Amino acid sequence: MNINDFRQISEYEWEIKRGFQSGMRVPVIVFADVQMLHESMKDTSLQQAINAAHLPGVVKNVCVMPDVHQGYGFPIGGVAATSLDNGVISPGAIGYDINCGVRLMASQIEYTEAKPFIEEIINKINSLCPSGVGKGGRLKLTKNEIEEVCATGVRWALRNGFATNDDIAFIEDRGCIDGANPSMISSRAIQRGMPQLGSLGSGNHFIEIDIVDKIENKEAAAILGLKKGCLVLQIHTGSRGLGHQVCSDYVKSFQHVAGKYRFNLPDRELVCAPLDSREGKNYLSAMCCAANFAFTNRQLLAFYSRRAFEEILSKIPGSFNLYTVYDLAHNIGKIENHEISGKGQTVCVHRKGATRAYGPGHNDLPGKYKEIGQPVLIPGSMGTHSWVMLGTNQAAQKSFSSCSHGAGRVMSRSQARKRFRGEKVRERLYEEGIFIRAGSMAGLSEEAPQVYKDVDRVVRCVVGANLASKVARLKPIAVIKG
Amino acid sequence: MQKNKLLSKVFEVPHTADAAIDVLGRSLEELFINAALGMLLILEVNSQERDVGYEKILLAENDHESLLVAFLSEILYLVEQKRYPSNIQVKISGSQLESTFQCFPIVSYNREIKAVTFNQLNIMQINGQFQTRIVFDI
Repeated sequence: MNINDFRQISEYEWEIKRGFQSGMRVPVIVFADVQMLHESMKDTSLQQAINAAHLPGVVKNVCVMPDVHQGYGFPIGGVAATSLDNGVISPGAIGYDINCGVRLMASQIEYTEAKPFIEEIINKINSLCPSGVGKGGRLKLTKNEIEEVCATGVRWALRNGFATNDDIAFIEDRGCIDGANPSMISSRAIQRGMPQLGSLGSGNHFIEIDIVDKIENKEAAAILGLKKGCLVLQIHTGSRGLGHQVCSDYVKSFQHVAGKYRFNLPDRELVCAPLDSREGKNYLSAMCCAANFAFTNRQLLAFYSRRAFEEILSKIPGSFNLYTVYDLAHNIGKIENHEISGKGQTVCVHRKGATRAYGPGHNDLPGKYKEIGQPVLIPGSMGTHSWVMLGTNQAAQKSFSSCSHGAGRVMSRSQARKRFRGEKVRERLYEEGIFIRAGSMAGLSEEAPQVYKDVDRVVRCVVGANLASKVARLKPIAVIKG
Repeated sequence: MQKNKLLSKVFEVPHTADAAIDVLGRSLEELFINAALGMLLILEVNSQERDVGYEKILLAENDHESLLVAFLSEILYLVEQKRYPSNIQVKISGSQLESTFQCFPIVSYNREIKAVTFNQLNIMQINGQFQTRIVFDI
């Protein structure tokens, strides 16, 4: 592809027309500045977005976020909405880590007061929140308990003393997506979930302590409880082996379904089933189970992180409470209402590495946030800023109320290992005032800050395209990498 | 695209976020075994010498690509259960597979593969050699 294949809509919006490749049902809209657009042409991410535009029943356009990079069928940073009437649901377009997402917790703890204890806090969190390859959680749940987690999400955590009503109020879908039916997931998925609830996993998953270092919207920051100079915590993880198994099971079984419905798709990873078919409904129900497991997983990590803060900071006077600002999914299929060609339509919005970003006034927002819009969390790498933003009503028109989910990778893992040594990465970040705890040095080298795009640039595109507005910038001071 | 040679018939293909390998084999069976060995290299498994017995996998799918994904997914699951398959033997008849291997306890592994995907998976026979690309979700 080259720049001539795009129609420029604005400084931050580019269109690949429907006729660009035969079989495309809708255009692709790329949100990026011209430099990021050029960079995104270096891998197959835009071809993957074009492939997604072949999905039966896809409506309006496929969206590509500024943090886009190559995935395994559907691009990471891709959004596609399919009609509930004649559209499909595609497990591969949602991903294996169903409801991978981010929780942001804030506090009124001044960094200046807590500074001597940060290393102790991160060590305590590290001991309470198992992380790394092959590590399970502190709890070993039974089959029935896992089924209950899948069916009721964070309400299970509330009943068992791991959550508060205030946590639930500020989680997307209140921590439980309706329609979850555990009989739709395999016994292997349940078995894999049994030892893993409350574990971080590996790869790009993290728990990070940050300082609020810049406020861009004072009123909104006050409503979100974000105060300059105070500590906040981010948790990034998903549905662990349970979610991976659910997706694997359905991608496999849908290989047969594609033939049954005579779908002609450019990539077998995009296999799908009609939303109104038995197969499609079964997957949606299974996906909800995995999503509820993931919400609960982040809740348990939040619970133990909160405990770590309380235990360590009880040595100094003041309030050590960590409260949930928001918890959101960035690998998910959601049944939502959107305006398409001037008419309201119910669609399934596939977000793969993209975050929901409802604007002010949306009915699904917690009362406290109705006036300002949904918090959107855009984490950077472990050495760079993260951003707290708010969804806009323009995003409803442009991107099915979706926004970027992070900085986005630019370098392969093997290349990163050749270029960076984990020990050196940790040393350099320590010199910058960031404590790192990592499952392995090899894994750390793969997550070096240089392997990610410039998150400030991603945020500039997001703001330029009116998908979200800035509230606050966060600076990392301690990071646990899986 | 510069590929990194992992084994004589397994090459690592650059991928921005995940992992991908190109695999060759003189037969379908050899292709499957090489794919498994390539995947185990990506996982960087440290296992013990103590053999804990033989295991068998029996699979039936509609086509060879589905069979390969199912076979590698079974091996991934074994690794998650801390069992390392060695001396892997594969027999394929039509779209049915029988695999036997020795199992060793796993001490640790350095990388987690979330799933084996169908992305770009296409088993072809070119000049008498079977080949395919496999993309893993990391």
